[in-house]
Amino acid sequence: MRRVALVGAGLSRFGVRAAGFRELLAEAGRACFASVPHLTPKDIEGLVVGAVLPERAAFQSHIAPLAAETLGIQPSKLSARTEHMCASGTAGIRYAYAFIAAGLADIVMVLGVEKLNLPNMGEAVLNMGTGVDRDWEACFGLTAPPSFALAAQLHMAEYGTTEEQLAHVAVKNHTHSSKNPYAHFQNGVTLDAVVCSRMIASPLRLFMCSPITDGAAAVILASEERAKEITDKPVFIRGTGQAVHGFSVSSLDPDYASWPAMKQAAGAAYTMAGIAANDVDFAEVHDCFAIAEIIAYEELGFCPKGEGGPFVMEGRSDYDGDVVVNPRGGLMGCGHPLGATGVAQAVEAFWQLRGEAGERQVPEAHIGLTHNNSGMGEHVVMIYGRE
Amino acid sequence: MSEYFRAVDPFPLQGSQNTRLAPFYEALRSQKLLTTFCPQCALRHWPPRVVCPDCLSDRLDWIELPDQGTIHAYTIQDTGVPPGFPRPLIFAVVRVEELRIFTRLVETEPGQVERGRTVRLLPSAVGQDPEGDERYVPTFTLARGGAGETSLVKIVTA
Ligand SMILES: CC(C)(COP(=O)(O)OP(=O)(O)OC[C@H]1O[C@@H](n2cnc3c(N)ncnc32)[C@H](O)[C@@H]1OP(=O)(O)O)[C@@H](O)C(=O)NCCC(=O)NCCS
Ligand SMILES: [Zn+2]
Repeated sequence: MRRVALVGAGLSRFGVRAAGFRELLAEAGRACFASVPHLTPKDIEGLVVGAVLPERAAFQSHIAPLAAETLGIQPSKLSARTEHMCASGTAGIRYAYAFIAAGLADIVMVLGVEKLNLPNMGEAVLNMGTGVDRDWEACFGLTAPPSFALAAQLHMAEYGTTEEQLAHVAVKNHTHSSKNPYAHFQNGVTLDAVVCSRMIASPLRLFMCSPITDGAAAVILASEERAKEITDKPVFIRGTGQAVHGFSVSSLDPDYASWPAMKQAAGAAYTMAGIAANDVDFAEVHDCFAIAEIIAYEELGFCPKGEGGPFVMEGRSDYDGDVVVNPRGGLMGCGHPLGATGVAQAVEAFWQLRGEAGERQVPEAHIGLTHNNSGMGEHVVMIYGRE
Repeated sequence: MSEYFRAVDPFPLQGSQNTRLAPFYEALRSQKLLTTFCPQCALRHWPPRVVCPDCLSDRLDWIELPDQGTIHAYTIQDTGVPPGFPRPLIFAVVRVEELRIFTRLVETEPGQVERGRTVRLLPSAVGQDPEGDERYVPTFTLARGGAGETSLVKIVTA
């Protein structure tokens, strides 16, 4: 297999955007090309677009050719869309990676895009229910917040995790996103404000949730040989792993506080990269809800099982701790435009590993990990490195 | 533009012209909880299946489950509830013997919900299908009187 690197990256602003689906992807695509002066759309051989809800939120399917035409790309080797709910973006990066590693293409762009906010927000919330099992679970009104609330309930019961520990995740990530000009939320938040915010799905309060966000992100991947011609600072994909254990809440492991699929995906990525958890300098993890980040510390091996709560309280997942988790502000701070999120995590890894993250720069960052999930039993992990 | 219309909704089509699982919904109308059983694997499924995920056989039997179970986990959602659903929504994972059934509790006071409490089947009507037949989903409600296994503590309430 050939080695593969990121050579360019760009984002749109994330938030409640006065912009349509096509405008968002154009914004991220332009920003991505601006980061690689040596490449033009004509050099792109493949395009993969991660998006979850364009059919419902933009009345549009067939979006890979739409995106290609918008950006003046004429794919000659690969054109596809990936849909894997909240992990659609990273699923797209894995396709592009595999295509290049196998020698089927040299330069592929991956775009992630979502337009979620609609004039009728009820419709926007209803659309989110398409990501869970409609016949057996969405038919009760299930969306993501109550699913993850079940995990929080059981993690609290089993390991004594507290509301204050959940709140610390939110404070950390909103502090990080206050240094990110692309983020949905840039004002930070106090511990008091988090624990006093309204209850969404017990025990998860407003600030312990990611919001409903519009946005797009783009990266360009190239073979090692081409990458070195294109830039002095390629960011290499060192490892990747994915595992899916179950779809419906009824079918998952009974202990919703343990996510073995995440441990499996991380294990595969570490093995491939030849590293261990303690080699990771920063991690962009899928904090769709505060409990998810706490469980991520445990399943990624940053701390023993059950100790995720104290880990965040002691500042071990922050700057000057063991590993900086969510330096860009995560999903809670940046927002979660579903298909764009995994790609935006890769954009942050690109900036951090090139020393271009500005105020958010993690000192001496050599290895970065990204984790994207699309449910408690479905996880994907990427490991990026300077070498 | 004429009136806004909705062609599909979040509820399954339940008649035999639409699904092989019609017997499940037929039984639900008379307050019975069925599921599929694979005789080859001696395995009961939840949710009901059209093929057994262990052996891929499509020769499955319908069996009746007890209409009571206990609350394994629950959450009460006040905000972010999809339109057309009542607030608050009380979601629960209910243990019915070896199975875990994700469901919603109806006609239940949120403050009364606790892990370990006994619940019983109380199907809810969710609207007609295009043929005009009423559709039902397998919701539960707190069983009267019995506190179930009360050894488990209540952790958080809304
Ligand atoms: C949590 C949630 C239900 C809140 O929705 P809501 O109560 O209807 O919120 P509104 O859209 O009415 O916004 C009200 C205010 O809260 C803010 N807000 C909304 N969501 C927020 C969040 N997650 N964190 C912090 N603030 C938030 C809004 O910015 C707005 O602020 P303003 O009054 O200053 O403008 C909604 O954000 C949500 O559904 N999030 C989960 C998204 C999801 O499921 N993603 C998939 C994850 S796997
Ligand atoms: Zn079988």
